[in-house]
Amino acid sequence: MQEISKTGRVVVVIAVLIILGLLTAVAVSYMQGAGTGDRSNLETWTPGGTQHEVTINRPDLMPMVDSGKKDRQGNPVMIRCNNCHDTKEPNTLTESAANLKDFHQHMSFRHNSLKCASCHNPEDYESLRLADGTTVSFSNVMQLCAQCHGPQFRDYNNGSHGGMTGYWDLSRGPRQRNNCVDCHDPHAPAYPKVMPVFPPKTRIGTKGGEGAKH
Amino acid sequence: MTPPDATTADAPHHDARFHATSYLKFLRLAFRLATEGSWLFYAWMFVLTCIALVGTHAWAVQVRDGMAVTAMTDHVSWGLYIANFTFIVGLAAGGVMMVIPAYIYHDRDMHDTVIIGELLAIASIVMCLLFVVVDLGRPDRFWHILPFVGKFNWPISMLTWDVIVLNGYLLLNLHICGYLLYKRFLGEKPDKRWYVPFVFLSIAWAISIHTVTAFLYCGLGGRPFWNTALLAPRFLTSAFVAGPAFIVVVLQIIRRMTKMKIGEGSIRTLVGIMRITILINLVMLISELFTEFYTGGSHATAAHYLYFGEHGLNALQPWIWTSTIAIVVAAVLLMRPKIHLHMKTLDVACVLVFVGIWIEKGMGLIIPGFIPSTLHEWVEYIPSAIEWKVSAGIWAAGLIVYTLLLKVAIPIFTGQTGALQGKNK
Amino acid sequence: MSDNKKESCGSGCGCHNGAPDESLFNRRNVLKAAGATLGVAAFAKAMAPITEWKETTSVDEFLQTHYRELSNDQLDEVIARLEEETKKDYGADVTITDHRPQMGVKFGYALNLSICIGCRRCAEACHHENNHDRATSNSYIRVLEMTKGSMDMEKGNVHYDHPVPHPDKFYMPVQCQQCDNPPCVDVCPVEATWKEEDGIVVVDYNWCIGCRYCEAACPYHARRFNWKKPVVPKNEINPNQSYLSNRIRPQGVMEKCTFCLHRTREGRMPACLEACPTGARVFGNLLDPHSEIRKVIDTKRVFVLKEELGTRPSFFYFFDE
Repeated sequence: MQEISKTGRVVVVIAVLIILGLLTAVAVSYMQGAGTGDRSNLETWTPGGTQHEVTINRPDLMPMVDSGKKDRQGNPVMIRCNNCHDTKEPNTLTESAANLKDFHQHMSFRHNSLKCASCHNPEDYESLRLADGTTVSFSNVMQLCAQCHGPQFRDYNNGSHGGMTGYWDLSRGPRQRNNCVDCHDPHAPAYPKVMPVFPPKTRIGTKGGEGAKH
Repeated sequence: MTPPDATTADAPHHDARFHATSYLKFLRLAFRLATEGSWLFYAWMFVLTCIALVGTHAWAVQVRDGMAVTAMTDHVSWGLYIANFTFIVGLAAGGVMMVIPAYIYHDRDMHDTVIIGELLAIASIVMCLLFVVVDLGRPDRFWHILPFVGKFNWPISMLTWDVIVLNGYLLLNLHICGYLLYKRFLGEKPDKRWYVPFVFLSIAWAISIHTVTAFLYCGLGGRPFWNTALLAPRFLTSAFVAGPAFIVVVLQIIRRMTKMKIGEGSIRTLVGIMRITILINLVMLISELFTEFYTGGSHATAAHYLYFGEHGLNALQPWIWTSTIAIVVAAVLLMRPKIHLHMKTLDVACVLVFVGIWIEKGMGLIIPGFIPSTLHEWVEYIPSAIEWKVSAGIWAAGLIVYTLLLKVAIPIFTGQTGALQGKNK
Repeated sequence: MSDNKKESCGSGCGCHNGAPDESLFNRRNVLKAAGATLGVAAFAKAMAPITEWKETTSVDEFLQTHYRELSNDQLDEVIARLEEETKKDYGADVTITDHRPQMGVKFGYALNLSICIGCRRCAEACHHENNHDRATSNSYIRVLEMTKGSMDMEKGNVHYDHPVPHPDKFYMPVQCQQCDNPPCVDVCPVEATWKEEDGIVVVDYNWCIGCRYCEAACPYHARRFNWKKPVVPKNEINPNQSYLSNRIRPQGVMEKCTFCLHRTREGRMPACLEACPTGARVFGNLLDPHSEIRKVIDTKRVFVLKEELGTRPSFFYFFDE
């Protein structure tokens, strides 16, 4: 009987010791607390105010075609569209380079079943034409793309399509954005295949690192 | 042997000055006992010291050149060090399997030998702390993890809990062993109030060190191989196989090398414990594997890789099958009736189970937790020469500590230093 | 004398007659002293590499307190020292700034998996922007090539080496998700990593002890360890650095993606976004209802990786409809 009560007392003492220990430890850990340095006062971000510009890359005012000839300095001689097209009768049914004789023979057209005249303005080849007949300059090509690629245009406007550089916070700096044709060749708009750069490594000197399976 | 009863009758009360002088004498005796012995002892210490020095040098190189000299990667970010750490925490906890019979069931034989288990706990914790230190990328910043001095992320980080429980366990066992030995040295009967509560606390604490160590791993949701509620119980049972296995072998060595009397009872009790724990361990292992393989899916990938390899990678296969076979064979051997009378069989079983569990908790548990990585990349891990050297060095250092502790404790505990004790009185 | 020794100590018990008048310089003691000296000498020799390493760290660095406990003056001193060290070790003149978060800003990132082509230019840009070790090609971003029809990373592959995009695959770059409930922060024993007011999980490279527990805890493989001192050629070092971000890390500490806080806390886009040729990446302030990132979350069906783990990432993925 005495043995049991003795063991009981020991158990109680141990329990009390453990609880006291835990309590002090908790208290200590709270007292230690978080940082006490000088950098707890933060300035607040306020939207609005003067906003910097978002510039969208513009394609050159006028596309040119390489004549295949070189000038005296060795630079290729470029020809404006209307040099030829002013005098040529437009063929609105052309949809591939196969039956072209003078120029553009080597271009590949992989943009669904569009014809040249779907986008190019047959009355003035130095501009573009929307489906409703409105003339659009080459620099506003995005307007033309947007006719069919509505979701992409919406995403572009929401900032979730198309590469950009610059500032997320326009109150502190400007932003430059890509144009559709920066990344997509209008004649073959699927993004071209590229070789990936910068193969990953596990750190050197490790067996199974470099050649490890996926 | 000094009859303890003779001196306890008058239970002398000493003042501080007495303790100041006699404790110094105690330390002096301990130093002498630790540094003098047979040529065999010197040879043993010499070999261990050499290994420890090789390990020290390897670690110094690792600190200078960075942990790039290990085979660890960002994919397998813990390796042999933490594997050993995990196992040795179990060894430390395993020592308690002598304490429970001795103090709770009043096993007489065990009472005489219990200090061997407690000293094992001390040596093991020293090794644990060393393994943690060598795993640090910045050992010079160890002070950051000290409570009050550094920043101690308690109670959120499980690693801080581990710091508390490991050091607590070390202090507890140092106190218990130190107190008992000092009292024996004085030739007095130890006062129960000064050690029995601590012994009981150390029993609970032993469970906690291995539970907390398991929580280190099973608390990580991103690592399905570890994220199982069975991990802590598995850790405990395997510790309670490996610990007694080690002690059974040590008891036989002590019986042969010293004058200490090791009763049959101690070994019989330990074998009894091992017989049960090894079976529970196997049952838990089977439950774990059943859940993994029958359910399948991505979560079973690590286990599949461990046992059968995956995508042509199978570095861990030889390890885990060695472990599994060793443990199963040991379990069968331990089932032999009266195995405690067949020392050779028993020793084979103990060695098998010790090695088996060392692998099971190290290369078979810590490493596959990282393979495949959290993004399912397959990067294998085979320890580098530096890691083997450092690990061997720490084991050697641990054995040095354990040998010295036993060297001091056994003569005092068995009263073989009678002449000196007599003089002190 | 030696006979006596054998008798008393042969058993290994170490028992001794303990005569107090025993000479201090008997053979055994001299041997012991010689052994001890030899041991100490051997130990010093074994530890020699440590002294070589010690030259690379200063007392000031050793005694430096936690970033959040430094006063502004102390931090200035620390930064001056770090700039000096970079000059000494790498020969480069760099400016280390202490960029602080702004109240009212919480960064979010979204990635359009329909657009990403897996070219890994983001990973490359990260490598240069953040002054990563050159030899290891370290980067905070890993790009997984995934099989269409499955979100199982098990079927992913990072070591693809063929023209991309492959028609049967899609590509999923993974970097730090800046979780609102970050497991890596919870596990750190020394509070060397924490989540700042704008949602960025940062590391104090001068407080981290290098235990790599956070690396084990992160479910997104977002953390990196400096297995050795990073090597970056002088002329390739990005000189615009931040204390908590892309300054060159010391050996033996953890590092991670900070959404380029040295850029984004100045209002600029992260380097990986600017490098993306397809515009698959969207970055902005989650607390600003008119930001691009909010428009994505409001109009797209976004998802997060490993949502079931409860980490609550600030990094979202989506597909075009």
